[in-house]
Amino acid sequence: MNEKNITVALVGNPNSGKTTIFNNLTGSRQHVGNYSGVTVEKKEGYRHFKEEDFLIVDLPGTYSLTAYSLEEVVTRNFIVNDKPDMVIDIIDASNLERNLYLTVQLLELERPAILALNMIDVANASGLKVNDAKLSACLGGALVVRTVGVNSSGMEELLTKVLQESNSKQHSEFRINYGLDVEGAITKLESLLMPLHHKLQFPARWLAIKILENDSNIIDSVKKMGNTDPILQLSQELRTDLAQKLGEDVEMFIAGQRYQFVGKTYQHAVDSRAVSAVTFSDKIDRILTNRILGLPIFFALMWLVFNLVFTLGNIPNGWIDTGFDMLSKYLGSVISEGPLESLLVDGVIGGVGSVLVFIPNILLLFLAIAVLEDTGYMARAAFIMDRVMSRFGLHGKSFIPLLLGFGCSATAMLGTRTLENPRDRVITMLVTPLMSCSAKLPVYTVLIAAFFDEKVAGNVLFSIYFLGIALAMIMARIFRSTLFEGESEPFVMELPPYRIPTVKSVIIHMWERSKLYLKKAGTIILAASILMWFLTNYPKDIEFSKDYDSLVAQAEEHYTEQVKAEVLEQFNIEEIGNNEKLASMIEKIQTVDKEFDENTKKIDEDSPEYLKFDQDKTTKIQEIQLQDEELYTYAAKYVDLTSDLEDEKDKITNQKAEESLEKSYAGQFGKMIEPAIAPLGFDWRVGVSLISGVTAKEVIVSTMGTIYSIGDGKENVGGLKKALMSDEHMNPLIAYAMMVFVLIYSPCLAALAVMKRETDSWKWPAISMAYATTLAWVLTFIVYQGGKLLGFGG
Amino acid sequence: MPLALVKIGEQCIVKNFTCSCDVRMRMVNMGFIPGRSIVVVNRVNGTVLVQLGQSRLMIDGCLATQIRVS
Repeated sequence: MNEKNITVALVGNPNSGKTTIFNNLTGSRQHVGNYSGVTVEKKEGYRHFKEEDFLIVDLPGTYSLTAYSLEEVVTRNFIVNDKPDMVIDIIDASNLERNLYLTVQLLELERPAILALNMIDVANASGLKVNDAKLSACLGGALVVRTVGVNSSGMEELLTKVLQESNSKQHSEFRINYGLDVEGAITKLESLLMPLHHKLQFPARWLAIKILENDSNIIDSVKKMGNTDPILQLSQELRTDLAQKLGEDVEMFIAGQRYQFVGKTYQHAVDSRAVSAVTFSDKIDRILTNRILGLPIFFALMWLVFNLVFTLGNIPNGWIDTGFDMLSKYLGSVISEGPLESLLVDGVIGGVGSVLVFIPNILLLFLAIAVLEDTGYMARAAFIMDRVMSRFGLHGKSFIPLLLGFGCSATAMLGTRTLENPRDRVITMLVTPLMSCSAKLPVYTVLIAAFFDEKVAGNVLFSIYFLGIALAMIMARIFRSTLFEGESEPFVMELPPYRIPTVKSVIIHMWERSKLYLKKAGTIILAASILMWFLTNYPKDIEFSKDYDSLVAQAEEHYTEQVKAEVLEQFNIEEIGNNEKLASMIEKIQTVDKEFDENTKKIDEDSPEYLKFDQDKTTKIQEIQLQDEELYTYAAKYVDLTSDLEDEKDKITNQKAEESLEKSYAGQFGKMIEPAIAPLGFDWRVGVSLISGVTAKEVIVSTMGTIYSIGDGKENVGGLKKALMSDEHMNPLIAYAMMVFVLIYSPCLAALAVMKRETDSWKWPAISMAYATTLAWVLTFIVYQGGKLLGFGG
Repeated sequence: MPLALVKIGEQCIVKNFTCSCDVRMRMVNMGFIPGRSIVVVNRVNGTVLVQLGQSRLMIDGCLATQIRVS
């Protein structure tokens, strides 16, 4: 931290518009980290104003400065230990009374503070009239500034006041009179604390009040001082004594006194006679949280979000995909063929590209979440879904990440940040991967197309999705009653008033989360891609069972001989080019063939479109044939021979690729684990595919493609389908077992990385990986062995 | 009577809490103090929506049975 910086801390209730003001003050110059040892987010930003540099810290939103939540402790420790030059208390002026409760506690800390009456426009519009001078007078002369976060008004005044006040170094004297009995106790404790308070940094009066309130955090730090037993003993005596006199707990009484003080201040400084009883928010809430309409509206909105993210997002997806294809081709043409080219094209671009392709989805996803949160709807969604989710040990808000899990588990886990309770967050993260993410869909599609009748395909797919949802609910219930037993707690949550979000804050919100995904998941995917590339490509010095190169040479030689004997010699020419008529006819036939291949690349052979293209082709060929029947015989012969050679060469290359994969490190590993997965009906090929799928689920299909000798599976799903059908080891039962396994087993690396980040420990990703894989094994075992007993799968 | 039994649209006064100390203080920090007047705005499957001054709070069904009002 630069010495010249003026440090400003922002404090305020949740939903007081604190973050909007922070964004206004700092713009994009922000840094997000965590407070050491806890998962509370620490946001800092910089601002240059009137020749001075400001360091602005956005402290977590809190209702109070007691020790009942992590946010409260973090906030007050920062104010006391880091001693910011100025604390700005962001107050929601339209909910002034409740916000002042935090303000008075802040002022009791005796640090320089300015009050920002935010959303003063909303307050005025609702009929509230705030008298700033009276308010300031009631609060020990603290400065009051009026701000409107959404249109940035009052920001310069705020900074100017910060400059003035931090230079003057005078801060106001503020205290609440807690009544004769409590004040007596405070004085007694204060006199004992006076010699110590320099070591503790807290003001002695505040410390005395906190000890009387039985604040666990403060009492612990007092204990650490040594020789403080008399103080704590005295405080216990005073507490019992006071509880008797007051007829309630001291902390309740003190809180009550604070509220009384706040109430008096409010009545004195605010004219609320013109406030109407029914607000705009009330009217919207009558519809959106309606017991009958609430759920349908919620589902309609979620459907809209889902479609926005995964339909609209797929459009730019295609552009990025094409971009990477072009990049690979360009690199392939610039760099000479070899390990470097293979590493860059297959490893880096193939792996990282498959993740970066999701950027549009992710941006849209976080855009939708930011809008839902900033408008205030998210809290309503939690309210509507709470009862359903709580039956399974989840929180109402868990529904949103779970739904997003159908898109991508990693981003869905980032979405759990909207849950306040860390336990809810962990449980939600553990079950989110059971929702079939979009990367698993291609795996299901290939297997279903290969082994199931079209009529049942939809049902098979639905059964897998349904199994995932059911397992997620069951596992959540189990986690709640085992790992988190007894920790389920009643909860209360504020529903913020509906607001129209500002574009700026929505975009900053969206970008903050997307950046995390790109940075963290991106680096891990890069490393994993390189590793997978290495494992499937090395060792290079394999002893092949056949000499593939000479097989290719043989095929070529055979081809040349045949062409010579059956075509060239008939015309008495050395090469095709010597007979122009023949050459042009060959070219015509090849063009028709090529067109047909292009057109039918993505079409099923039984489909009517395919038949149409097939008929077209036959007509065109017949036209060519009619031009010159005899010449056509030789031309067709030549074309057939050439395409046979290509097929033969492909076959040999694929065999070579298959063998080198089988003998690669990944293949060796697959063979090693085969005994473990054999009871599930899987062979080493499935094993390698599944393991490669841990990096990212979409890799499963492309690995299977490589293994089943048909090149890149993504481009050639039809080919993989045929290869799978002709594999005598595979059958519908094994295919279904594989789908079950893919549905449940270990989340992908990106998801695990996000989980590590969000929980700040390797424990949860490890548990997630272990439980998911075990569950997958057990269920797949039941499905496969049970299916075999029932006579399925032949 | 417990908050869980208050009819929708009715106003009542917070009396006391039977929940644990921590939860009680958290409620207090959000403005839920004995003597405050509140209105039950909505209830869906036991989860209660309460208007307290200018804030609107959602209280889950279990907690709503632990808050006594009159």
